[in-house]
Amino acid sequence: MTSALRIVSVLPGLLGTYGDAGNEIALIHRMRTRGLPVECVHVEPGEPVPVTGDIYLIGGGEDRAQALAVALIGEALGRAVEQGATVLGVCAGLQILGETFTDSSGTSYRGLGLLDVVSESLPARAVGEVSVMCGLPGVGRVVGFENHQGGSRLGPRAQPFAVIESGVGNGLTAGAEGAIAGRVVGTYLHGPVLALNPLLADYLLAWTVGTLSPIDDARAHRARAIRGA
Amino acid sequence: MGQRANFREMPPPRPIRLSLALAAGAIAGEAARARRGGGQGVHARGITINRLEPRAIALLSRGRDCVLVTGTNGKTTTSHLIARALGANVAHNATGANMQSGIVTALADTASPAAVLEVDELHFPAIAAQVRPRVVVLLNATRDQLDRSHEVARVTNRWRESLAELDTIVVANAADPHVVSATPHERAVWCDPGTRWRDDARACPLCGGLLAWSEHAWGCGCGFAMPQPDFRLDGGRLIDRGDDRHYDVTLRIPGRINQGNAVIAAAAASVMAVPLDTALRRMEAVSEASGRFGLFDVGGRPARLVLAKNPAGMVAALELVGDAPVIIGINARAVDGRDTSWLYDVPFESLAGRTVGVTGERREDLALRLHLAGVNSIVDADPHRLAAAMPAGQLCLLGNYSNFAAWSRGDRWSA
Repeated sequence: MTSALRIVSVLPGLLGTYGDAGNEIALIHRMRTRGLPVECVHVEPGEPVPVTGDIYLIGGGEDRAQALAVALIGEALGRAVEQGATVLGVCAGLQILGETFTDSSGTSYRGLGLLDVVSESLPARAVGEVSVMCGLPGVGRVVGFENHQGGSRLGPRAQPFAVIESGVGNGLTAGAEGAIAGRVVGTYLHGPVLALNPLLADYLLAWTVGTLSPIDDARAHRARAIRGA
Repeated sequence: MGQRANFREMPPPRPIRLSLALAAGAIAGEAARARRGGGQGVHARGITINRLEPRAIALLSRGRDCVLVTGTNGKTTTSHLIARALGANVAHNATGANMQSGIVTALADTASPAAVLEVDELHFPAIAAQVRPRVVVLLNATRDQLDRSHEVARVTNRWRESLAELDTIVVANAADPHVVSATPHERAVWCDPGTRWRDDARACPLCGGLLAWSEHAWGCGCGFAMPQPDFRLDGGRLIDRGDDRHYDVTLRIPGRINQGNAVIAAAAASVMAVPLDTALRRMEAVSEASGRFGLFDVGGRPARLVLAKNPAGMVAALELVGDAPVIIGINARAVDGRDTSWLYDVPFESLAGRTVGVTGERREDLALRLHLAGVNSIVDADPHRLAAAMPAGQLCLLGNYSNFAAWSRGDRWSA
């Protein structure tokens, strides 16, 4: 890689209400610690989403913000994905990456259509610590915190992000957590997921940056240890 | 303004059922206190009273001028300021017990003609329906304890429904769009405490569109906009729009955030017929609020205690820390919220390069957050041991709820 890695935080003011800003913080830390160049763009409402980013981050948010976000993002994210970009959507971010999602009042909205996922209300809100075994090779156990009323059903063009060890995850598809299609990844795990799971963060970075040298993750390991990981 | 301009001279006689409930409550409270060896027994006492006389709160507040204070942050401090501003002889749940049991015991403890009660934001509708307050103070609505799933909009929708049913004056924070959306405008006294917390109010609470924020105000294309404040904080002074008079806000408790709370408290006091200058002068005497901002002995050093239990609260706390050596304690018990993700919504990067003491049951989560912010941590389960390792100066001890509660039972600093 010759130029700086470009991280795009998509509407962090609207979809960043659950600590998911930490995913960007974790990626920046992992790049800078290795002396690798990184630049960040925060797309605020009213600004166009750039199509030339390497990694797009979409966080969680309340119902209203979710529907508004789909309208604001428009076609740009799809074009970036066609050009090979990586996308991580967390919670509401996962839901808006899908085909449709239904809010707590029963209103359905069209999603961005980047994951073959349909999201609907669960019978009971899923809240608590989660431990999953990730389907991406070498990533292993991923831990985080889930807090969602909506659940997700995967269609044939998406794979689960992980298999549930403890927690609810997608809810509507037994034992499954999140979804992956190509380099588009969705999960219900806050924590933030990339701060608590350095191997996952590096896996996503490696899609753009290539093989990465290890760094000191003692702090993350201690935070994982209190979650039994 | 309310029709009851003067406080009543005498409380009404208590009905027999209520008297029995109060007597039984006193016994239950004593028993709980004896069992726990020193606990206050408020909860057991209040539960018993409310169970035996479910209308106890309504009966005890009948004929009294009540001020209810609710919001995510600043309830305890602001209600202490209001109670002091109203002068002597005010019923007040001063320890911050702000659900049904704490409210009923505070009302039962005195027969004072006025009451200042802080109320948990989710219990507000039920308690307000019983109390029928003369004044309601709405401070703010920001994210708090995410795992309990109470999204900000859900909380303020319930406030709105509740306030529409009451005839109370509402002293409301005009700078908070969620608060404004819950407030009946024809009964509002608008205050601008100088805070601007946008992170939970990017979308319009009324239409879902995008809120535009400028330095001074906010507004939406649908016409919903920040009201002109009747009282505002400007450069450490309270400005009364009615007569354009200015009043210095001098407090013993620290921080601009508390000057803003004082503006709201003075507005509430003025609705209760206390002149602004009198209210502000009385508030100067407040040195802490149930441990908040109090000076404690931590590891043989003076340490100021600050409650910081959510992103907005932690941001305000970091602002008043300044250059003081700081210890932060984070727990994730039920009362704190079980999810520590919120630590990433706090710009701890402002402490980069400094060394911070890290404690609490979730100290490893905080240490990771600080590490990613470029802040050095000294991690220890014991804040007293940590204090010995911190640089010289008056310590600031920031904690979320259960840490703060434990620390505030410790020894006061005596120089």
